[in-house]
Amino acid sequence: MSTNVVTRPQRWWDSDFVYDFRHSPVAIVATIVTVVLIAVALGADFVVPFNVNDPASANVVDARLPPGSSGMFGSNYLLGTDPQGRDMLSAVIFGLRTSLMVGGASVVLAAFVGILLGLVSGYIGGWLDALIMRIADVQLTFPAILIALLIDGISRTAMDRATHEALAIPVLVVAIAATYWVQYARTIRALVLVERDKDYVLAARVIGVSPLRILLSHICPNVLGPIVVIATINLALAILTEATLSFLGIGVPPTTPSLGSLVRIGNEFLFSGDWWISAVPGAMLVALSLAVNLLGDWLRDALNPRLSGR
Amino acid sequence: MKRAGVALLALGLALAAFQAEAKTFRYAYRIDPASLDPHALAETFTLSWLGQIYEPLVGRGKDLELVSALAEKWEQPNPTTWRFHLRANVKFAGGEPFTADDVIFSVKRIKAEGSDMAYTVASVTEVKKIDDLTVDFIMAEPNPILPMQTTSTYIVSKAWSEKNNAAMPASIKNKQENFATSNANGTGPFMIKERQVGVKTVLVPNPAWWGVKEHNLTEVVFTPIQSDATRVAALLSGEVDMVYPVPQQDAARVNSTGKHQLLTGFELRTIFVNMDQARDELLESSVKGKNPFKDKRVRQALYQAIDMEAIKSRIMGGTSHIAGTMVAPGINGFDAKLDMRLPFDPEASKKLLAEAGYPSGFEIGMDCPNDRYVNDEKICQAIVGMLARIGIKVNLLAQTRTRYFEKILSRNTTLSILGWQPLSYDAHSTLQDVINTPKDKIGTYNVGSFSNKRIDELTDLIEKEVDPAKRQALITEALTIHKSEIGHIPLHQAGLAWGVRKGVSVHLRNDDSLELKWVKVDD
Amino acid sequence: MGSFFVQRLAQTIVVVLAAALVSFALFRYVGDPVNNMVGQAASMADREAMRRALGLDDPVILQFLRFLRGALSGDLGVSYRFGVPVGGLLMERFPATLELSVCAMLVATVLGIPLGVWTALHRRSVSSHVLMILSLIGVALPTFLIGIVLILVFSVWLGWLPSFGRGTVVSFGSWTTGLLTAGGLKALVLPSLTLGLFQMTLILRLVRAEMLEVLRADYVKFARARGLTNRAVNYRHALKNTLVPVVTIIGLQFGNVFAFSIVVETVFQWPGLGLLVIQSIQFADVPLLAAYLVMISLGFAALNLGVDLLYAAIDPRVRAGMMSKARV
Repeated sequence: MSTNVVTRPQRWWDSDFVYDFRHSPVAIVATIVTVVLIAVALGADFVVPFNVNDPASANVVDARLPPGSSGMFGSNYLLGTDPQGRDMLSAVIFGLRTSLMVGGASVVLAAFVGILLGLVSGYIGGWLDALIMRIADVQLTFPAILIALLIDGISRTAMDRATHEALAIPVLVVAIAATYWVQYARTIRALVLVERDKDYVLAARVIGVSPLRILLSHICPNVLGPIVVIATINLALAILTEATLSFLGIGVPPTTPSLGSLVRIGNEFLFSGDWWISAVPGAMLVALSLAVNLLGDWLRDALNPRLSGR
Repeated sequence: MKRAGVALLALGLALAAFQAEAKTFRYAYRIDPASLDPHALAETFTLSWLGQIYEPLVGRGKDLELVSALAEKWEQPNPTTWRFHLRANVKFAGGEPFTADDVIFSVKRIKAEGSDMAYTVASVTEVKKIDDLTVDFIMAEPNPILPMQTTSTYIVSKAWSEKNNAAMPASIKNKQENFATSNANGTGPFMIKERQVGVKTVLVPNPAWWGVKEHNLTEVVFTPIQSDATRVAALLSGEVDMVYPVPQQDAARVNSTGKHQLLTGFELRTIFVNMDQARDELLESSVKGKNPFKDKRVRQALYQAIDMEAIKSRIMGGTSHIAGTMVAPGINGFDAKLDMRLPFDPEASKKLLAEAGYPSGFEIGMDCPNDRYVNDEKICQAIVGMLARIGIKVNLLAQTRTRYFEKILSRNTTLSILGWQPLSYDAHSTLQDVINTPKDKIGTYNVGSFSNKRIDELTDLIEKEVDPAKRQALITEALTIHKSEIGHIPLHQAGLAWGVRKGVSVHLRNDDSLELKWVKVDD
Repeated sequence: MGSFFVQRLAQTIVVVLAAALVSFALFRYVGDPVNNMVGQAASMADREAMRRALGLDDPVILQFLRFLRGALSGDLGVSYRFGVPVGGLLMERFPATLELSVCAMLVATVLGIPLGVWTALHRRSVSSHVLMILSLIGVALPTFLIGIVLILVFSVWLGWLPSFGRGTVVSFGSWTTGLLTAGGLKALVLPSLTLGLFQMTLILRLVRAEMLEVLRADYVKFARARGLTNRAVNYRHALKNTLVPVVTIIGLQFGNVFAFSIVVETVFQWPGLGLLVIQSIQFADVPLLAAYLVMISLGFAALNLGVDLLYAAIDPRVRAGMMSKARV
């Protein structure tokens, strides 16, 4: 067996993780869909037939046309138009970008804050731990939507319009992140409590490694797996939260389409027979959420060492 | 034994007959009345709803004409006095007889701290009792439209109010519950049987009502349903007999079921655009050092860039009435000759902008409510798109009415839309509150601070002019000046749409008020 | 153990008070209630006077202390919108929301646990893949859209179930329930389903994940090795152990159910707290919002403690852990 030289890519290809991936059609399809959607969203400016972010592109004369219609000035609307006369296809693609941006950013923010507080809480303990965990308790039980409503409320009044217009999406991100950090903090804290007393950490402490260093180099890597899983599932949730907030009358500015605001508008036209106004963004929402969730599920199973031993 | 059986049978038959006679009318509106106290809040729906229980001296008929209510006759013995001859033998639902004392008491209550209705009798300095069934309203200045102004000025029972510690109007300022907030005792055709705030109210006919019964109802169930879709669903599924408003996108659906029909009309509320014409530099604009809206050409450019036909057909489902003037048809003082818009002409707009020194347009902010007027946010979005075509970039801020009104009433705004329905059904209110130069209690809703001396003068004259023809001429003159100055941009009156189950007849009045006394349930 | 809970209770109360203060500070940003409280005829001066009379111009901390003083003496204030005492209004609406939330949780649990067990035991079968995907589609759509679609199908097209309200309710003193009448029960179906769907998916996935893990645990393997039947292993040992986290989640998710009842109650015109609150936000009804927020955070802090207690009762290890932490 002298040819037994395993190259790095080869080893990667044969690792449990990748092997599992290669043999899971669900994971492959979910990944492809997610990647395609993200690519379309990123390249929105180049893919869309109409720039719906420019108010001049919407012509109210062409409002509520069914899929495949031609507009008054010869525009072709593959997926129809919304009640403002915006091209549905373009609106959905821009909406996808807004939703992914809001969802992604809020997950990153929530994860960052949650991990930080979880690490501090778990490793340092004491009154700081008690304080953070009690805040988490209250926060977790406090209706998430109310928190978001309040955060949105402050921002609107505390800023002048230009600032608010510019910061509408960051504000929304903060509002959503504020409702999700607890999960990360609790998970991390629990994991840290377990890891903290393990031999390798004790050993590091004995030889005088600084607590920060221990946190970063020893504990962090061991707790990241669960975080990735929570994050994927939260991404889908965050996108839905944006939709719900839009239903309750807050969220992204009306001229910026998001999947949530598009579905909300479509909701009003459900009884009138203009199905595409809700169905197109709804289908996009389902595709995105389904793909991300399935990916999250698969990751959870694949990263769980107790499950991978077939 | 046998006899008891017969008696039971008879009772059963009687009950069955009663069952067959029972006509329940179930209807739903967007919101619940704010209070049962008729003097607590001057809000159109609350007043309209309370009009089923309480009555004014002079009411409104099916075409909004003045009709006799608690006063049988009214006259003006001299320019500063209105005399009302009260209806005899009227009783409140609680049994108290109605007399001149109740009128005097009610006006006092309306003028008291905490009442929101004081504006209706603001011109009245004294109410004199001539005899038990005659009262004189004395005014310092002539007021030709007092009967018109007081059609929502409801009369309460003095004895009942005093007994129940409700002699003062319910006011949140008192931070206490007022008996009249949750209980009512009027002279009107209906009375309250059961009320759960914000959930459900059951009304029954007032057996002591003085009027001739046109309805055939034995019970009325009112439910507020906030969500448009749910409200329509409740009608379509047969859970209620009538809903209003029906959102315009569902109008066709309601008409197409074969079991329902849609009644339509036009609101008395005119929707218009405010432009800040007071500041030397606009708050939210790319133009520095000057205010483009001070230039009439710019105002006209905005006006002619807005395609109301498109908004009507595409956003309002063809149900709106395009407005050329600030008052709606049906409002006293409306002049059909003024109700023509300047033509929609974006090219002319661009030229006007260039002449005014803005060939490449500019950028401004706009405020819009998203839960106040029919399709408010969509109309604003459409306007944003239309203005973009003439080079004016608009940053739209659409928000809930609470925040919206806070912002625009503090004049912290550049461009906004607003609606106005004169509560007196008279153009004077539009002139005084929306068009006159803001000062003290005048021009509160003139958000753009449009100012024209002649209109201010005319408004004062209109207030005192007793002769209807002369008065109309003054109103027309004021509205003509406003129109040619483009003080505001009138947009439209939204369509009214009531969805009714077939077999139920209701009368749609253009003030969007459902009068239960004209409702008939046929099956 | 007793001192542990006393300590936690004290901490929770401090945090709740702080949260109440913060939310109070935020209220002034919800909007100006005054413009809703007077008609269009009121002048700016009238509005100013109203604002002063309500104390809205006072510093936040003063308004908060005033609120606390009132609250401690049982007076939560008068609603700006309805003009009636807030406490009574909240109590009137509370049964509706509680009933809806409990039913939604019940729907979620009764459907979620068996489906979760099924998908775990038949991990690779087509049926469980289909179930997982269907449940995911259900949660991929916003709650309000699901609610409206259910109304469209079951109320408008089929005419089976009511589209709004609670139907006929029976009252016992100040408590009302729709559980005792056919109309009330029918009215509960669609809102509970809409509200419960999301939780059902959550429970399904949780049970599945926990089951999978437990089934691979050593003691289950031993049990199998001992020759216990699959049935006994699956249900007596595995399922029982998955229930601990499920109980926790049900407790914790109650907050979310309450929150989402805002959406569901808006869609179904369900006369509960959620509908009241969303209308209060639109109206800037500060006394009502303040009372609601304090009530809800206190209520859930208590619920949290309850779940912890229950947790400790089910799992002795947790109890031990808590004891040791409490001594630190």
